[in-house]
Amino acid sequence: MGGFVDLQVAFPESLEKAESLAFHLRKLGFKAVALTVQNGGKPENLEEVKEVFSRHRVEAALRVNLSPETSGRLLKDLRRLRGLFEIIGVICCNKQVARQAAKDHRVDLLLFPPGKLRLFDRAEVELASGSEAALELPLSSLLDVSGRQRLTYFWEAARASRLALKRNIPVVLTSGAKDLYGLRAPRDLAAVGEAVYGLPSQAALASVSKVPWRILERNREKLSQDFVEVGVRLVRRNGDC
Amino acid sequence: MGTVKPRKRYLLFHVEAEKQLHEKNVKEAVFSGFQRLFGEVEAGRLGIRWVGFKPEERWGILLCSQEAVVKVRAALALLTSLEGGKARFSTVRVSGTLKSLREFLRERKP
Repeated sequence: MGGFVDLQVAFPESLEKAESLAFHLRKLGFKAVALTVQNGGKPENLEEVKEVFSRHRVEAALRVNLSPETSGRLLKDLRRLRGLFEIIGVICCNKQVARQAAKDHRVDLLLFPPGKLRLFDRAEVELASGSEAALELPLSSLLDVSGRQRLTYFWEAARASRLALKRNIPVVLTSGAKDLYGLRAPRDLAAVGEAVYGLPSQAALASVSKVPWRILERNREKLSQDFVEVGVRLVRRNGDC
Repeated sequence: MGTVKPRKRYLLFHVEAEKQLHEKNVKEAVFSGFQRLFGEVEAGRLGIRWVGFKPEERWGILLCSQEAVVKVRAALALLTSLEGGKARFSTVRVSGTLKSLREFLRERKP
């Protein structure tokens, strides 16, 4: 599969909102989206919402954002939720959680709220380079702050993305949209990555296309019944042999 | 010896907004957005010119130098409100001629 992916859009509250969200995502050029819930379990109307998105030819995946306060809580949540969600993002609010999230193979995306991006330092990068976690920079984090905080975020995000690319840690740009006014066209997200965070043009485009697709496909493979472990897949079952 | 004329690009953008829009206010929001993000000096260097805006259809066209396209797209993406309500700007197409953008808009009409 190919095309553009937005890996963080809030899970719609109703089917009408899902309809309009899917319509706008398609209009903006997205082929897939990760609908995000915070800390919780699977939404009840998930199948209906996925159906709405597939009618608009947008693939919908389910994502959870975890914001634990301790590494122990993070491990518990990961054990409980990894098998239920296609994407898991961890909001790193302190060093302990950030370090644990960076080295855990079950974490897909590392997020840092404005003011906490400094936690993505060399040690963090070193740990993340040994796992499969990517650095996520949601546009909503930038839009939610203003004044001096925004200037600091510009600087910190540019530093973090530079550090990540240096150690081949993938960077993912998302809208982090809570409603349809928070959505942005994929090439506009890439333009923010390039003009504001200083990503090279190819890396900026990959961060809204190739990189998120890779994460999505890898996790879907892991969640499929035929998956045994990395590199090992069940080809035939007992009766088929 | 002559100087090389910088290549220009026309950007077609669309605005999704809660409130009714007026060209004057959209123009003001766009230019103050550029100024806020890049500062007066850099915003001036981008060579941005306002071509027009259709409030009924919410399409607008901007002119800038080819090198500035990414920055202009980024500045538009960072705009979040208009006329006191939520808004979303998205760049729909970038072209070297105004004619091709107008053709694109004609084709999109039902």
